[in-house]
Amino acid sequence: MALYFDFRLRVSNFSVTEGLQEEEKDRIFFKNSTATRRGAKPDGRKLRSEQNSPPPEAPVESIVKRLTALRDGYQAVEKAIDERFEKIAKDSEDLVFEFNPHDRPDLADALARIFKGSNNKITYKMYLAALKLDKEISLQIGETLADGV
Amino acid sequence: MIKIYKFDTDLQDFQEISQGTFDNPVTVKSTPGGLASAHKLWIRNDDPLKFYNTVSIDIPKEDAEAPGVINVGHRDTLVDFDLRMLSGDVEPTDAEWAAAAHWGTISSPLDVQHGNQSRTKIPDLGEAGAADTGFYPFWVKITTPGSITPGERLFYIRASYIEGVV
Repeated sequence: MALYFDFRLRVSNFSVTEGLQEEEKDRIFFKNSTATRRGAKPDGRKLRSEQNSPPPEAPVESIVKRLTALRDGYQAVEKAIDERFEKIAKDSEDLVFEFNPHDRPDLADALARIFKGSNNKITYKMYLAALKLDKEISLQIGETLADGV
Repeated sequence: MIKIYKFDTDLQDFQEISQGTFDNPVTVKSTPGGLASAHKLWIRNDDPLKFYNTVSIDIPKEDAEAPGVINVGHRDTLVDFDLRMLSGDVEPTDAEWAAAAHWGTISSPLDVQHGNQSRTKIPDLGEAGAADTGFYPFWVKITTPGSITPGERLFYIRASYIEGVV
């Protein structure tokens, strides 16, 4: 005889943490991997052992450790996102947004100023380039304003 | 009756996996080409008047079985995925996962001579004269190749057995 139990698989391109190992998530979100491991059995011994745990670290050392963990976590998130974007870019390299320049003269004008020779279509590569450019411009504006203070 | 459970960390309790209704399925999330995640589940007999031997757990690749048992809109083929199962309480190491059979089966009884070295065994759930209602853990790991289209796929864990009355 046999029984059949429901199993659902959700495949998503846009998840940053879903594909990460528990240890990586724990590092990003400062969780204790033993206490938060998905599917772990409740463990009363852990609670008892916590009562005998060593005294907390000195505040400064603790802050440095936490900031280091924060930086590592940020870098892990950034790396994961970059990888996802690269994958999306590869999957989407054929995507093109075409429009009529007469209907959107503002967009056509802006496009022609950034990407010479194009005024009616935006490819995914162009979109990513524009995002990058926007980031750099924002950074430049920020630096310029900071210099003026 | 044999049941499969997951552990709800919010409720701090075992939750029965539904059969055919998808009211409470095991839900695994994955990204194409991403890192695989392992899920811990438990098999158990909840009937003190029954025992089960020759128990076998697997996840069929194709929707060719369970006639009349599953009443869900559709089931998907899993041929393109890499699915592995191992038994035991502690999460398998990378080396153990690497050595595990693709689409392997976990079965009873335990190998008396070799124990559970290959982590593919669980004990029989009781015997004549003595039911066993303990929880026996096993792990499932799915790796999704980069070529897979995002979306939801429904399939099932199959538990086969021979039932006896205590």
